Amino acid sequence: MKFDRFDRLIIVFLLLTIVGLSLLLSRTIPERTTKIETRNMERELAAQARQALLDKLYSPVAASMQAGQMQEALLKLEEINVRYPGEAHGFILKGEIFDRLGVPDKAAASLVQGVKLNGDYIDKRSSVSRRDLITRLVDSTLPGAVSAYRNSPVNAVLKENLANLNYLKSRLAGGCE
Amino acid sequence: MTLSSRRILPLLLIAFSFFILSSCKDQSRKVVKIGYMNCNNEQETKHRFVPLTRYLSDKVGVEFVMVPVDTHDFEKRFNQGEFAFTHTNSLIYIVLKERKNLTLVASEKRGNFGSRSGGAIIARKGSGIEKLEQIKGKKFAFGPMLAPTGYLAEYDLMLRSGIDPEKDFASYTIPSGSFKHEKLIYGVMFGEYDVSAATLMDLEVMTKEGKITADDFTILAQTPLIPYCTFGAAANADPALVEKVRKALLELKPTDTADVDGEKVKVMKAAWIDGYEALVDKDYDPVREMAKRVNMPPYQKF
Repeated sequence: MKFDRFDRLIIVFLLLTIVGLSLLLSRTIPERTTKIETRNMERELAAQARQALLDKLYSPVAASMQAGQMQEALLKLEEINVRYPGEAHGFILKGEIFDRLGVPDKAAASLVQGVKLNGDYIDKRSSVSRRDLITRLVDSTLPGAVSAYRNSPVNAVLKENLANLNYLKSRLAGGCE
Repeated sequence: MTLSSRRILPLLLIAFSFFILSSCKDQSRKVVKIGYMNCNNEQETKHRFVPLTRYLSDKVGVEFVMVPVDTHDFEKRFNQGEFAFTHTNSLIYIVLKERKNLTLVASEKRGNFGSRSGGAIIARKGSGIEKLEQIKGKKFAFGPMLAPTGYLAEYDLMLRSGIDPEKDFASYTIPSGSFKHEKLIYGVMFGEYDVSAATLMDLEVMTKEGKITADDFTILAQTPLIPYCTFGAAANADPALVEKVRKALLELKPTDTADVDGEKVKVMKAAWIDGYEALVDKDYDPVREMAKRVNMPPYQKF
């Protein structure tokens, strides 16, 4: 096989292309990693900022809850809910208050609303996780809710409560929204 | 008789017959009255419950008529047969259940606790009254005497906590006129009373409306949750009709509307309610126990 000048020229161009691509790739990969890191950091920052805002915003509610003043906590929550009516954290706190007031059906309904809005509340690795509370609520009330519904299957309220508890159970088991 | 008058007369007769028939059609719809207990005043009751009454008429196919009734006249007017269906608080429901075998139709849902509500004992924040034991010797105010969560539940709570309202206060009163529940809360806020009973529902609503803030008051104690507003039916009411009313109430949705004076009005919004729930009579036992302990109707002993 004989190489003429034109073949040599093509080989040179091919080599140059390979060298060029290698250089380009070697520069691009670290850049990508940086982008991913940046995105992770941005996500982390957003999560921390949200957590700080929630802590500040709902601190009066948390203080009343800590003092055992559940009704006062509920009223403080109402005040905040006027400004932030669809905030998942508000529903979660309401669920906690209802649980401590001994109203498990209302607690389940509020927790469902919160978890539907933000799955972090059921994620065990999340800083805002309420997984323990939800697990305890489901474990302690689901059997009673099942038998109550079986005794009165036409009762819409019992049916709704059972549906809420089953929803929380499925989310605890890893089911998605 | 001329020819033209011979022709006109049958035509007039036919027209008259149609008029009579169309009137008969309207009158053929059965008229059933519902007595609504006034919470504050008649005007407010009408404003709240005319749309709901129209909704029931449309759904059930019966001409329901609303009758606003003062709380203290309710039993007497029910006994006189003025209305077949009742909308009252849970204490009046029990009175009529025990004495006239009223049928439970449906229980109203409103506020944080749905078909149940409770009462609280409140003091102004900063007044130095921080605990229930400290209310002895103070000026106290109750809500209306037949109010389950503005009087009965708080009176019962105090008795169970070793406080006798008849002996342990410097004085106690019930505000006069309408809007008694709000007057209690404002009365404590502006120093008219040291301590008062307050329904959780009023605290919740007034907070939402920005009339008060949670920091204005110290909640000294909270009563158990009990059923509140209740639809009932007279024992002799047609069971099929009762069932239809129950179904219509339980099926009520936030989007349901009724025509009132040519305007489409959202029924639940106008009535300030979140719907209805099918409680059973046994759910009202906590109210019965309270009424027995407080010596109130229908268990009052002299």
